[in-house]
Amino acid sequence: MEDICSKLDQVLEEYLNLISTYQEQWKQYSKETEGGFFQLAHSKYTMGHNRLSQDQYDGRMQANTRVLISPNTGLETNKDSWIQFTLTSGHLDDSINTEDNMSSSSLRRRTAHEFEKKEKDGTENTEKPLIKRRTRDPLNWFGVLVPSSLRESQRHFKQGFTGIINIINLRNEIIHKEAEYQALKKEKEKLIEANKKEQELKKENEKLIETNQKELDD
Amino acid sequence: MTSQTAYKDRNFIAVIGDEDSVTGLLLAGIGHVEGTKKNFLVVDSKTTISKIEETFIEFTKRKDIAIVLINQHIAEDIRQLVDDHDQAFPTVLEIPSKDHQYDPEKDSVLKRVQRLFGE
Repeated sequence: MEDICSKLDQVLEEYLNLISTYQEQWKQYSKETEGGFFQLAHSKYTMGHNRLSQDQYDGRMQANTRVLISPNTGLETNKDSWIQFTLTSGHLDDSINTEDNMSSSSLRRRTAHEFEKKEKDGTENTEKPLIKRRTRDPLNWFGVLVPSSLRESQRHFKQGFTGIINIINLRNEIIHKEAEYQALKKEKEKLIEANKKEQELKKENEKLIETNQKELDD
Repeated sequence: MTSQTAYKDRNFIAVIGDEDSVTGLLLAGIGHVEGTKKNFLVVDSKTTISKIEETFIEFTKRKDIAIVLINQHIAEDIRQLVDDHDQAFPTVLEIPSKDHQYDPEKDSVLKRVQRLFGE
């Protein structure tokens, strides 16, 4: 019984600590996004409202921020796992944003390079063009020379997004801990009930012994 | 036991929010367009509730989305749908927006905590 009580206390302490961290993470996230929104508003003011709207989004955009899902077993491997998200940058699969690779500047560079080689070797270069994996920075949707406030806003939102992943992971851990706490609580209740029954049986036995004793005395 | 390979294709993050929230998250690099399939919806005064509902259902049914982010004030409009979503994937998270700050009273986790301690 004592063992289960101390376990319950420990789980509850961990649970409350997780909630405290969760609230802290929300505060941090709110602060980051506030900064992001402020800088975005400043960019709108300097660039003009129409140049920073959804109409400027790139219709061929490719995600360069993604997540990976993995089970987290925590420190004790025999316990159930909860799902953890990990932030990844860049492409994970073979979907290449060819739009940039086919840009005129890269083609021009390649032909110039080939021409030089051709002159040196006197032979034709048959090597295939090198395909680079590149994604466009979303900042460039809104122009080449964007104000520093938009860059700052992007930095805030990137930071904030890391916060979102932390919040989701914490939430999963909290739900897992809650289940652990409730299971322990049920176990404790069962033990209490078993103890009660045992004591009742003991009392009944004592009563029986007493009545038997009295009958014998009589 | 869930294996990593089972979810290897689920790595996009979808967002339903006002223009500034969506722009911010797209600046962070989550935006992805494949043909007519987008992973974001900009909600403004002209967007109908049925459109939001439709998009939310689409995002929760897609097999390549791991997380759906939705502005807390928009989630209020489709509360039933959001609350009924009980699958592990995609994970739905309500986020604050420029005009609507984070409200802990509407936070599902903190609601669970209150319920646990019988408040």
